[in-house]
Amino acid sequence: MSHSDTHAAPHSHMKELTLTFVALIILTIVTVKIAKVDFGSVAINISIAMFIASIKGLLVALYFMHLKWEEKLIIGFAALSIPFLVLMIGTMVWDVAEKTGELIYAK
Amino acid sequence: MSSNQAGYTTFEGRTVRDGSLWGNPAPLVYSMSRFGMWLFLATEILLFAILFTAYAIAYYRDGAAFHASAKELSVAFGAANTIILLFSSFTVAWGIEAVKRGNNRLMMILFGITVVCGIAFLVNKKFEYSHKVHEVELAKEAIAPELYQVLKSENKCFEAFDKHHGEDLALEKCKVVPFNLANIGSKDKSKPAFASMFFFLYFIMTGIHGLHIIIGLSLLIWVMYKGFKGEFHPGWYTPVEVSGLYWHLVDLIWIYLFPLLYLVA
Repeated sequence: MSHSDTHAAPHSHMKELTLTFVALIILTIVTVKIAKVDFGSVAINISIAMFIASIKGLLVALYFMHLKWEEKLIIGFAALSIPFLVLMIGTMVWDVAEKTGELIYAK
Repeated sequence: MSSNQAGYTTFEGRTVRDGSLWGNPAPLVYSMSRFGMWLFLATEILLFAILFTAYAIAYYRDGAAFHASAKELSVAFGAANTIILLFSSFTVAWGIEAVKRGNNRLMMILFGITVVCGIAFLVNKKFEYSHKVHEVELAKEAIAPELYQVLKSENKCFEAFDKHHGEDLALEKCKVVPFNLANIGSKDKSKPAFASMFFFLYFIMTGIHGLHIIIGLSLLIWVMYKGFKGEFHPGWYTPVEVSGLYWHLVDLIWIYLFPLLYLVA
């Protein structure tokens, strides 16, 4: 037998997937409801919305995209995109904020 | 059994690929395929990161215009599309579970549901887009009725849009008019450039996302076709898994787009 027939039925993830889907729907409803509430400042409101979106994103990545059961090397490279994301958005916004500040000061 | 060519095996009476590639064993090929896909997804994340950066900068410069502009979007449409995409992602994940057990038929049904969801998403978007374009036309007409009629008949507003000069009143007005939804109702027409940034970003971000939906749908239909031919079995279903990863990424991006575009009001 060149190919083994020992493919044991893989462990089912249906329970986790269903729970993830339910959690995602609940979090979507929470996001919509919470957007109407004023938390004092726009920055806080957007931060809360982004925080919930990040939880949803994490759920999708961990369960739907199987990262939870993935090999360490792949998890590492997938996670590596996040520091670059932060670096890109963070440094650019920082730069623009600095320059805008100078312009206002010059006036 | 031994009559199989290299790289092929038999599953439930069908000749199917055994998952090996160029002499490399199936488990290695399977892992490296996922690894490669994740590297590609990382570049996709950075593609959207550029757009998010543009959003952050434009927002930083004039947040008020963003709030005013975002009010023009329908939260109900956005929320409906979010639910549709989440559900389609769930059926893809379920389909992968099915195909892991050699159930090509259930995978095809579930991916079929996903494709229907994806098309529903695009139809929703189409209604939203045409509604927006219509509103932009109305806004142009409301702000400068005579000018709008003249420019519409002569069809030269877009020419004038890029090369405005302060002296020319007609051109100046023309510059203010397009995509200036945020200024409707307010008397302040002094900063139209950043008011229009919101809709510029809205169309670019959702447009590129929509393009990804179309690519994702094509991949899923291709996978369904392969499933129809019975090519997948528990030993080889890499295309299903990898296309699924792509579809989940499209969902992941939308999770961020929805609050940023629809809920900042």
